[in-house]
Amino acid sequence: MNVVRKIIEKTGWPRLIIGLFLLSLFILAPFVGVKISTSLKDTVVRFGMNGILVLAMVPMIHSGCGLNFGLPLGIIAGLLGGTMAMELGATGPISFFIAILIATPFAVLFGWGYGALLNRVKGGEMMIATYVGFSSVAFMCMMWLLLPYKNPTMVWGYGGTGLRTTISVEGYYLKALSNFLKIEIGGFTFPTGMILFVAFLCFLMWLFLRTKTGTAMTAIGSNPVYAKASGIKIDRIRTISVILSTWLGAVGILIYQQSFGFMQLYMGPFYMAFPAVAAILIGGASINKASILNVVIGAFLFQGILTMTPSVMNSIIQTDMSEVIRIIVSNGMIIYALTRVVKGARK
Amino acid sequence: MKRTLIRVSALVLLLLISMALYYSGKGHTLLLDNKNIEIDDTSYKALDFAEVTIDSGEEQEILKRDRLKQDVSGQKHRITVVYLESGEEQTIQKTFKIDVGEPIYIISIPALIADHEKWIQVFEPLN
Amino acid sequence: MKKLQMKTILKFAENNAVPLLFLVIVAFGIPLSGFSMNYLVQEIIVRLSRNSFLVLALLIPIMAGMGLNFGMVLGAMGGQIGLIFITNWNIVGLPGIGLAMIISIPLSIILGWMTGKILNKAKGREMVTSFILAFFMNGVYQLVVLYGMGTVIPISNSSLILSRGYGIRNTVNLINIRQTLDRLIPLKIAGIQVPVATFIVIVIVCVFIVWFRKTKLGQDMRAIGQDMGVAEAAGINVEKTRIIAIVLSTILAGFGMILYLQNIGTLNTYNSHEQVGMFSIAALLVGGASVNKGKISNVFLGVILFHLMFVISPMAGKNLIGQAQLGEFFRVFVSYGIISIALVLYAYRKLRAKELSGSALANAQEEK
Repeated sequence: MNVVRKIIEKTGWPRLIIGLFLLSLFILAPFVGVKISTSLKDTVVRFGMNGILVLAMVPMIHSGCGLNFGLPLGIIAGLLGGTMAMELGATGPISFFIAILIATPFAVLFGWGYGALLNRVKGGEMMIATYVGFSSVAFMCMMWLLLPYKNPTMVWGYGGTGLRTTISVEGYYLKALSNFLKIEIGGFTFPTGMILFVAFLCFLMWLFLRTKTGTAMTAIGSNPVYAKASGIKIDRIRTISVILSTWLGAVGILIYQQSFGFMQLYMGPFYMAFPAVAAILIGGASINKASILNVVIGAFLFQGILTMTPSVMNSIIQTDMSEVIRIIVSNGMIIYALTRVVKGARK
Repeated sequence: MKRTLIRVSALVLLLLISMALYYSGKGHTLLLDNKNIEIDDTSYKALDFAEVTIDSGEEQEILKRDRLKQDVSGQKHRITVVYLESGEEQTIQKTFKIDVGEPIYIISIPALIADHEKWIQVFEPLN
Repeated sequence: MKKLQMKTILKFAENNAVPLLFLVIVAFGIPLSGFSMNYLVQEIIVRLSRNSFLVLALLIPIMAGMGLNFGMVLGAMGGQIGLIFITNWNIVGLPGIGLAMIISIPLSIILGWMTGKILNKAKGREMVTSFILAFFMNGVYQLVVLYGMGTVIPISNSSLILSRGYGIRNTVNLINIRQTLDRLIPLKIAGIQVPVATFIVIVIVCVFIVWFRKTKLGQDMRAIGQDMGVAEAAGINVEKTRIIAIVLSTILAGFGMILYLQNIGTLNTYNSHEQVGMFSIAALLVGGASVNKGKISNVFLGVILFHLMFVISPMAGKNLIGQAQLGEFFRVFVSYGIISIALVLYAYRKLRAKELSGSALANAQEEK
């Protein structure tokens, strides 16, 4: 009995409920005529699409900056990279890497500024991060209208100025990764390249967390007083973590687009931080602790719920309640994490 | 003890207020008919012309075979009808109560003037 | 003497940087937009009557040191549910508004109590938590209104129900109560409509807030806002008082939402509440309030300046570069930007104060 209670306490009620919910979806699926195999395949694809966006949470959680609600900033860097690569006329899969290349300086610049800001507001990071994300998206809305892009696939047909709200990446980096080493299984394409790329970045992050800078980062997050005493330059390390998070956000959105096929500008990136935040929390992270395993489990569970709920729910009650369930699950998980007392960390 | 008493009475008061608001604010529709009508084997002839006023609202003219629609709120109302009978202006005024659960009532002006008790009836839409 | 004057002017500018900045934006924008003065004055009066109540709802949690109550959206939801019920029952006019308010009270108490409980578990992170809570409850609200109404909760008025047989339609026509309060006491000055009755209600709330500050409970809240630890030591029940602050704010937000919607006349069932929180908070901040300081004057100044900007920016954008959309994006950017700046300034000052007191303590210890 005690063991059960301990396990529950350790996993936390919401995580348990979400896990059971997903499990029941999988059990119910065959009875209502939903093929588990299709759902699993969809889950795999969406896992690949969103994995890096979830991974982008890790550095900032480690350095004690909390959940990166300012992810849209990184996404904007990615969008800038993507649009500029297209503007420069890069085509085919190589344009994906050009996009990353172009996005990198932006991500570093944005991340540096964002990090400098967060260093001045320690203790209030998360709320400010949210609004930095929001205001940068709103600012870029104006910029997408004003920046002198010329590529006719991207700008509005009439008038000839201002980017479209959604831009197809077909002919550019569509499926640049997904089609690499792809495996066809009965009509379904396993996106080997994308999964490998995600795994590679996760591995790099894992390695990074074991370097000197990485361990310093973890030290700041778990015990800032100790970190300060041992001579770690807190502000510098925190800035590095923010830059890293922002860059991963930029790469993450490019991976998302190459699989999805479109880039969404204007208000598109607005709410993109929340699913990523929810996913890593479902995977077992807290606001000052996260591992690569949390990322993988979380992204998989969360995307699993998102793919399974509509199909199963639709078959049971003939209505699509998935949107409501998504809102409740993701935000419920975030609230739960925010109300946990952070042990050992700064108040 | 005193605290609970105050709380309970506040709650009761609030409930009473909301009841009052519910009843006084409940919207009803009155249909005013000036048509030939037959009730219980007696027929009443439509008037050529009349002026109808509900409560203290505006005067409305109603011609033969006309139907007017009037939205009211609350259950107690007064209807005033001014009509011509053998060249002389007559005024008839009635107060009436309607049921809170019924959204639409139909009032027959000819029946009202003839003082038939069924001059106001619940309107049952044809299905 | 002159130096001193300069100093006071500078200090005034520093303390009122945000309203002054807005004054400049508006001063440039008005001629660009090309609107007539009469039109703008009418707009301001309408928007003052429409939004002030909602913004006033934010003051009490600020007083209790809980920051900007993003959870006011929950109160707005309660108000909307009240409006859905009175529309369903066909309660018209002022009694309708009153009944909707009464229905919203228990909902607001429950929601506010829940918010307070959750925020007590997230001390120091109240704002981000209430912010996410608003999203979370939006899901629950949709569950109730979109799936619960017409199935579990009886709705007899078929014009409210979606064609599939349950769930409330996306727009609810509030014709029954539309502007009944605004038009209760009609007054027209130089062609400008003034909703006197609504302003009377707003004044009553202002008086209530002023009075509330002086009560024992209000004093307790201010003490908690100053320093939670000291308040606790002084024997104030901190957690309970904080919950009461949020409950009051939620109730006021519910009332405010009802007044807001009676002016507009249609309820966007699934959208009306979403933006109310952000716009109210932005307006309050534009008026010169901050996360830990808010006065009634900030409310009115903020509503006037913020909504002036809101009215003129699409036209100004159109006349400036030929795109109204730019102006629309601009006002969205300004709304978010202003909240960001206020949050950053507050967190920065708090951190600075903490570091200063920390180093002062260290110095004092060294001297010993």
